[in-house]
Amino acid sequence: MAALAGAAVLAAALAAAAALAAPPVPAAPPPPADRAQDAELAREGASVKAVCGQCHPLQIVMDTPMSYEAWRETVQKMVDQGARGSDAQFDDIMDFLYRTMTTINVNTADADALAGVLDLPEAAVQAIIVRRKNQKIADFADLKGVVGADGRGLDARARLIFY
Amino acid sequence: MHAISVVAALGLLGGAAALAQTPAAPGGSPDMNAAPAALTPAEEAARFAARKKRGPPDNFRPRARHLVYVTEPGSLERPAWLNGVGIVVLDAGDNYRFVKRVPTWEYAASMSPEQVSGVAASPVTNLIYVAARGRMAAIDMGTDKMVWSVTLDGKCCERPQVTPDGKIIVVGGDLQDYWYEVDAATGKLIGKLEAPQSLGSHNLNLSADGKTAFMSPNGKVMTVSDVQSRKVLKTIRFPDNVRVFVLNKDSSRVYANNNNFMGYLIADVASGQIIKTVEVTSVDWRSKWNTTPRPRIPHGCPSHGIALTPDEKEVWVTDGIFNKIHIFSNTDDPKEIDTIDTTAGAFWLTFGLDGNVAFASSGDVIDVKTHKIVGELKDEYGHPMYSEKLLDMTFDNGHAQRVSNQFANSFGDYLTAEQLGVGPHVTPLPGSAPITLTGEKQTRP
Repeated sequence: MAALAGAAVLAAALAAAAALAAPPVPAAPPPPADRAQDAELAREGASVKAVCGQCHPLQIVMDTPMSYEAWRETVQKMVDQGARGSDAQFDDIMDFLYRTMTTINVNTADADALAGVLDLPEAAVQAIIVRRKNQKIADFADLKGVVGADGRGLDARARLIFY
Repeated sequence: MHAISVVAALGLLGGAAALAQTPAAPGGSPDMNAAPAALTPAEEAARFAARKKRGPPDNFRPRARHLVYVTEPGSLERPAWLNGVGIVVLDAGDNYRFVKRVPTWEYAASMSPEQVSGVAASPVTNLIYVAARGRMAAIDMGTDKMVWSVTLDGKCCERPQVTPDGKIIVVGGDLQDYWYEVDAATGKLIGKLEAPQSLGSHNLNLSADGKTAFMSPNGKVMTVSDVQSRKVLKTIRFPDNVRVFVLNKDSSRVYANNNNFMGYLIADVASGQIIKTVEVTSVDWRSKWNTTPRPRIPHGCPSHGIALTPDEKEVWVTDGIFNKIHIFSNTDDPKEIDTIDTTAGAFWLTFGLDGNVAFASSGDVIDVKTHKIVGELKDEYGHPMYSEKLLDMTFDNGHAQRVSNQFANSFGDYLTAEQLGVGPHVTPLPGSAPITLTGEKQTRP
């Protein structure tokens, strides 16, 4: 179920991307809204495009992971320089950046950040916290060993993780 | 789910196709081809809820901007086209980085532009007033568009000042024996302040409350007039031509440069008498000055620039011979307590907001407490700017909130004056946020 829905979202995303560049490809159906998470993520992405995309290529956003505080300052600078959007749109943008482009040190981050940024369930978060009390997490392989099967989504975030 | 969802969002960013084909690589780009994890809806919801713990909404809004408006050409002592024409705006919150150039009047390259003779601005009107020898204009600081430009009787204009209520501009006729009062909103002439003993109208300063005009000619007699009635209150005679001068907080003292003198004189306004003469003795300026032929010194005056610090403990005077600023204790027996070597000739001093920094027309930005040069004013081409007409201001969403004075009076900007009980409160324009300086984040109420 999740895989099917995700694939549909991927198709929609690719269609949106293709629409921005020649040659055009046949339009894909819109993403299904049967999962609130996907709908919210899609909306957040749309806010990024609507607000940030007014002034600069959006690939810049995806190329520059940074800490959440740095993102806040970056967005504030953008607002200072004229970026305009509703409060809801900026909340979307910050949610989007938090969940996809925020760097994290697994040896120092608090439980909320571990859960939110790394998309980990509570059990995995606690496993990290218990482990690092005794021994610093050394690297990515070490981290995956700590969280076990709960670390399925970590590969996609490897570049965001510091030790 | 995660990888696919990120790709979905990335797709909205226009780069999904390329990124989706990127191989999985720890430490590299996200693995867009990773098989989606099989999570239950409950698990996904829990993870999603956890992400929402990133913190409270940020309520982003533009921060107050702290900008310096430098008018050009801003010095008679420099080539007219050295820094071009217009108002060069710098970001005081970012090491005086160039922001933009606001156009003033248009000139053909083959012509010589008029020198800017003075600048003032008002948070009430949100206008910046630029005077040149020939005309005066007002520019809306919310749009950077000129809203009026006047020549009055064809003999304007010298240094302008605007009253704290934003209603009246007082500005000298160009080397006449009168000063104008002009409607600050429209530029229309209201009346004239006649000053028959002050032939050669030049500098003008207003008391902190804006009620009293101190009008100095390039001559020996300063005329003090009431702004409302336009009546002469008194005159103060100096031993030589009055040059740059500043006022203390209650405008009971005038600190002035004089021709042929390196240092300053203090005049008591109530008595109209000169009560102190303070000469720079740390350099042998007299041997340089009293020679034949006399050396060409900018403005024809050894000291053309003076400042009275906000705490009124120090008097700064410029040294046009040795390119220095001499700092004196403002005591009954003033002593030179420090000297600053400027990077070029300094012929004017202006304080930034709160008097934290001084802007010398050498282009130097000087920390008032440490006496150290901490910055340099440069145009968009990296050339130092030597303007003697600039203002330090803060803005909230296009509205001026605080405005410094082109003269380095001890009372600073009008907000400071209000805090001191010697000036009126300037109400921010509707929709403006509480006044803050750069670096302090504002949040919506």
